[in-house]
Amino acid sequence: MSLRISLGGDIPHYLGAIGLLNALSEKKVTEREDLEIHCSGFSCIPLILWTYQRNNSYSILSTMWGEASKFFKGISKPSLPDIGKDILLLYKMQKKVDLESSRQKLSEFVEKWIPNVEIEEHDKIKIHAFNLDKKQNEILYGNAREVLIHALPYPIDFAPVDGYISSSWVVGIPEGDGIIYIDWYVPFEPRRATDFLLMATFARTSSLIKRVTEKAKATVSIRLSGSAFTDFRYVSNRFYLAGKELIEKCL
Amino acid sequence: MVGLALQAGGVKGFSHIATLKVFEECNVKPDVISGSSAGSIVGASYALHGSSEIAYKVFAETVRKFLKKQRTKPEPIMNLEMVIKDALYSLDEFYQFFKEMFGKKKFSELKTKLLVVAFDIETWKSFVIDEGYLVDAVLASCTVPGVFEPTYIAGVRMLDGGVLSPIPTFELKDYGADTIVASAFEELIPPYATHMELMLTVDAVKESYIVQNELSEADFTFFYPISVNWQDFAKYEEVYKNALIVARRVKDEFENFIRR
Repeated sequence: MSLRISLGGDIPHYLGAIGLLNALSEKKVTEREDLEIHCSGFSCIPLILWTYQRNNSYSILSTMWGEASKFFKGISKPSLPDIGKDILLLYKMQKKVDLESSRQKLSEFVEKWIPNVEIEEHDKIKIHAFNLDKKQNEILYGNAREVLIHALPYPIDFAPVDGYISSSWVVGIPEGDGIIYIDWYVPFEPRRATDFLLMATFARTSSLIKRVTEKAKATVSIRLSGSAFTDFRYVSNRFYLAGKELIEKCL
Repeated sequence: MVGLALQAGGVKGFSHIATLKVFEECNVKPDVISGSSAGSIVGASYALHGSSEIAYKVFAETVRKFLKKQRTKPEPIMNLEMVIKDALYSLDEFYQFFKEMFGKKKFSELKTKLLVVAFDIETWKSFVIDEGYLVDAVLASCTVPGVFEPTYIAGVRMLDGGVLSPIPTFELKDYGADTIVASAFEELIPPYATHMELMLTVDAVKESYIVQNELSEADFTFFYPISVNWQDFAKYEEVYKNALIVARRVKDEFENFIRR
C-alpha cells in the first residue's frame, strides 16, 4: 500500500516544510519505496532542495527566507485584511497581467536558488500546478527551475506562466493519505465590496481544503500568527512537530 | 422523497422553470426544493404558486419592471463605485424586487417544502433558511458578493448561497431526500486581462470544482448549455425558451428515471 503525503503551499512560509522532511527522514519514512510527497506552490521549493541538494537545503532555505518575504511581498505577511487592501489597489489600478515580466521575475528567483536538475516521473516528489487554459490540475516533470516557474505564480503578484498558476491558490491542497497545511485564515470584518469578494473566494478555497482533508487518513494543520510568521527556525520547527504528529496518525 | 436542487446563476435561473415545467408534464412533484440565489427565487416562486407557468409570469414581470428602473444604471462589477461603497446596489433598491415577488408571504404558506441557502459571513458556512418571511430569505440568498450589500438573518450578515452551495444537493440529502434531481447549467470561466479579473477567473474555477462535487450527489441532472452572462436579465425570455427545448429533449429519460 502506498503512502501519499500532501502539502499546501499558498504562502512563502511553506519554505519551513523542510522540517517535515527532517521528521519523515528521522523515522525512515523517506526510505519507503511507495512514498509520494505531493506539493503545490511554495512547498515545492523545500521538496526540490531536499531531494536534490539535501546536505545544505536547510541553510539555503533559511537564507532564502528573508529574500522570499520581499520577493513575494503580497503574501509575505498573510492576513486577509491586508490582502483585501492589495485587491482594492489592484481593482483601482486595473493593473494588467504582464505574462512576460511574470516569467522573467520568477526565473531570476529560481535561477538563484534552485539547482538545475531534472524531476523525473519516478521521483518521490510530485509538483502540482494548475493549468488555467485547460482548467485542470497537473503534475509537472522536467527541469526543476522550469517546473517551479509554473507552480509558483499566484494571482495578486504574478500573471500565469504559460497558463499555469499555483495549484494551492485554486484547489487548495492535493489529495493525500496524510496532509499538512498552514491554517492562516483568521475571520475579519469585511467593509468594502472587494472585501466581500475576497471573503467569498477564500471561503471557497477553505471548503475545497475541507473536502480534501475529510478524505485523508490524517491531517495536521499548523496555526501561525503574529511574530511566528517572521522566524524561519520557528516555522520549520512547527513543520517538524507536525510531521512527527502526522507519522503517528498515519502509520 | 424527491428533492430538486436549483443552481445559482442570475438570469440563467430562468432555465429552472423549464425543469419544473417538465416535472409538471410528467405529473411529478418534487417533495422538497433547494435553491441558492436565482435558484431560490425560482424555487420560492414555484413553491408559493404551485405552477411553473405562474412562477415564470411573476419572475418575468418583476424583471421587466426592474430593468426599466435600472436602464440608466451603469454595468455592475467593473464600476469604480464598488471601491468606495460596501457594495454596488443598496438593499433598499434590491429589496423592492423581492417585495414585489413575494410580498409578506411566509414559508409556512408554501405548497412545497423549500430550503433557501445563504452564506453565513461569521462561520463561513452555508446556512439553510426554511422559516420566516420568503422575502428576507430569498434576498439573503441573492446578495452576490461585491455587487449587493449583505443582509441580516438571525442576527448574522449573509451573502449569496452560491458562494459555497451553488447547487444545494447536500442540503437536500441532509433534509432526507433519497432521490436528488439537479437543475444546472454550463459554468462560464471568464477571460482575464487584469489581475482583478484573474482573481475572478480563479474564483470561477473554484466554483466549478464545488459544483462538480455537488452534482456527484445528484441522481439525475437537467443540464443547460447557456452562454449568457448572469447579469444579462434582458435575455430572460431567450434563456427560458432555449431551456425548455433542452428540458423536453430529456423528458422521456427523466420520466423513465423517476418512474423506475
